[in-house]
Amino acid sequence: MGCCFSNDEDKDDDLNDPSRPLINPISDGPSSRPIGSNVVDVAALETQGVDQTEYTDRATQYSHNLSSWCASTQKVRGPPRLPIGVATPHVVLSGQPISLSDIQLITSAAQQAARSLQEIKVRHKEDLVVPFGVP
Amino acid sequence: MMTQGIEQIPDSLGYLMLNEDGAVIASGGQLENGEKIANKLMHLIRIAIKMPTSDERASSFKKITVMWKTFMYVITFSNHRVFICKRQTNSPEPIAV
Repeated sequence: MGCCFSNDEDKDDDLNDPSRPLINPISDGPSSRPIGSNVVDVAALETQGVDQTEYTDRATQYSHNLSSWCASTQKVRGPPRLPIGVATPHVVLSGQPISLSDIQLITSAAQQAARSLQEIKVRHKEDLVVPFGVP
Repeated sequence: MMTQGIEQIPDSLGYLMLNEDGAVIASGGQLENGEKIANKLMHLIRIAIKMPTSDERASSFKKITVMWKTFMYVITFSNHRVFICKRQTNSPEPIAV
């Protein structure tokens, strides 16, 4: 079992010694250091007895809370659902390709959008960082 | 018929049928086992279906066409399946830039 704690008293002189063990089981006894307040000893914890009826009561309550919480939130996010679509996909797929004028329309619209994006510039109005009392 | 006749489309170069997760269910022609192109087109489809096409929320498009000079991918949906057909572009001057 590993444990993590930090305490100013633990800053020994040999902190920089790479060979220093993390915990010296002999000298770092619980009586000499305040380990007890920083470590949760799981093995020593008393198990709180939960009888069968309380167990089922809690399970019911938790599942009730969970379902009410789920109902109140937005639906679970997943990949977006496909559109309903068409009844005969092969007819749609073998239909006439989109017209030349539509292609030209979307091409020019995309070009204009790209050009507009390139022309977006930041205009300097005032300093973002204002020095306070800097000598 | 499982593929609903998409393997019989005239001037077809290949076809794919995907499920809602984008997994290939059926494929043929140049798109046989085309998982890479399936993933790319599925990415495009997921972006496209988020875009509203009209004020009605329920309404959606029926067809996506991805054009190249010599071929195109035509995409549609039916019964929670994605149907993709790679077709030859017949028009002599597809895109005037």
